[in-house]
Amino acid sequence: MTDRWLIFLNNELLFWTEQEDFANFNDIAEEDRANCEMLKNVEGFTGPQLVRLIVDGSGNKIPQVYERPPPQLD
Amino acid sequence: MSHHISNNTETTASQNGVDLTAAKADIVAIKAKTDQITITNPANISTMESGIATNVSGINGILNHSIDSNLKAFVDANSNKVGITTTQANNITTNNSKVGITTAQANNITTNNSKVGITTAQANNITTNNAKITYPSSASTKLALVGITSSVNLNSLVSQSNANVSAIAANTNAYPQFTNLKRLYNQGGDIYNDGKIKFAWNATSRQLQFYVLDIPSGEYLVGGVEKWEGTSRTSVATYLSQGESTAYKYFTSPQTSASSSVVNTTFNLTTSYARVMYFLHPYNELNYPSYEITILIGSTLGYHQISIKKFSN
Repeated sequence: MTDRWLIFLNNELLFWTEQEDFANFNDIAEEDRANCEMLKNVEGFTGPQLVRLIVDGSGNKIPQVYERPPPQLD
Repeated sequence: MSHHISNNTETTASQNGVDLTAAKADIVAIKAKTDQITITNPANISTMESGIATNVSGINGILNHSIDSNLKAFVDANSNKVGITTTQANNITTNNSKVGITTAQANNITTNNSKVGITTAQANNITTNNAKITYPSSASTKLALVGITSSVNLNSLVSQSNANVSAIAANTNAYPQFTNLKRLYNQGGDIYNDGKIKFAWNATSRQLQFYVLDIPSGEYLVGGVEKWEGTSRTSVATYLSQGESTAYKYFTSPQTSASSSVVNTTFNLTTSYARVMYFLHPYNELNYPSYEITILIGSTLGYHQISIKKFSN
C-alpha cells in the first residue's frame, strides 16, 4: 500500500503527496501554518476525492472523504 | 600202421627182426600220444561218450528252441528286462509329442545370415535409454500455449527483434525526448528526474519547480514561464540559479543561491482553461540539457497534462 500524507488548511484538504519529503508546511505562508494539520493514510482517500475535517462530539477532528462535485464552468 | 610179429616158427629170424623194429616204432608213437593225456582217476570212456552225447543233445535243444520248458519259459518271459511297451515303441517311432519346425523354418534359421546384432553395452543402453532427452510436462504445457498457423523462422524473428531493440535504443537516445503525464492539481511531489534535473509539482502554490542535481560548479541556468489564461498572457524570463540546488526552485525569478526558493504568486496556476510553458536552459554550457515543459489545465481543480520535452544531454 502506498502511503499518502494529507495536508489540511482550515479543515479543508490543501494538498496531498505520496512522498514523505513533501509532507510538510514549508510552502504554506507563515501566518497560515497554525491552521494546518497533516494526516497520513486517510481511509477511503485514493487521490481524486476531497477531504475535510469535521469535529465530532468529543471535539476530535475526523476526516470525511467526499466526492468532488461535478465540474462547473467558471 | 600195424605191425604183427609172427609166431610161425618157420618165419625167418630176419623177418622177425624187421617186425620188432616196426612194433617198437609203433609203441613209441603210442607213447607220444598217451603222454598228451592227463588223468588222475579212472575214467570210463563209454560213460563219457554217453554224457557227451547227452550234452550234444542239450545243446541242439537250445539251438533248436526245444530246451527245457522251464528254461524256455524264463527266456521267453525275460523277467529281468527293463523294456518299453509297444505304445511307447510306436510313440518313439512317430515322436507324437514333438514340437517341431517346418522345413521352411529350418531353412530360415539356417539362412538367418543377414542379422545385425547388438553388443551387450548397446543392449544395456537400450534398457536404460541412456541418451534419452526427457520431455517434461511443463514443456508440453508451454508448447500447447504456442499459437502458430504458418511456418515462422525464429532466427529471422530474433534478427528483426534485435534490429527493433537497436531502433528503440536509438529513438530513446534521440532528442528531443518526451515525458508525458497527468497529475491532480493537489498532489505534490516529484514528477521527473533524469539525474541532471528533477521537477516537482508544488501543490500549494500550484507551480512547477526544478532542482539542479548535477551541473558544473558555478554554471548558471536561465529559464522562465509563459502563462496563458483566457485572453491574458503573462510571462517572465531571467537567469535562475547557479550551481547545484539544495532546495526546489521556481521558474519565475532569480534564486541563485543553492537554497533559494522564491515564489512569485502571479504565476500560481489557479485558473481554469490555461496553458503554461516553462523553459530551463544553461546560460552558456554546451554539454548540458535544455527543457521545455508545457502544462495544460482544464479545470483548475482537475487533472493537469504535463509534457516535458528534453533537448540534448
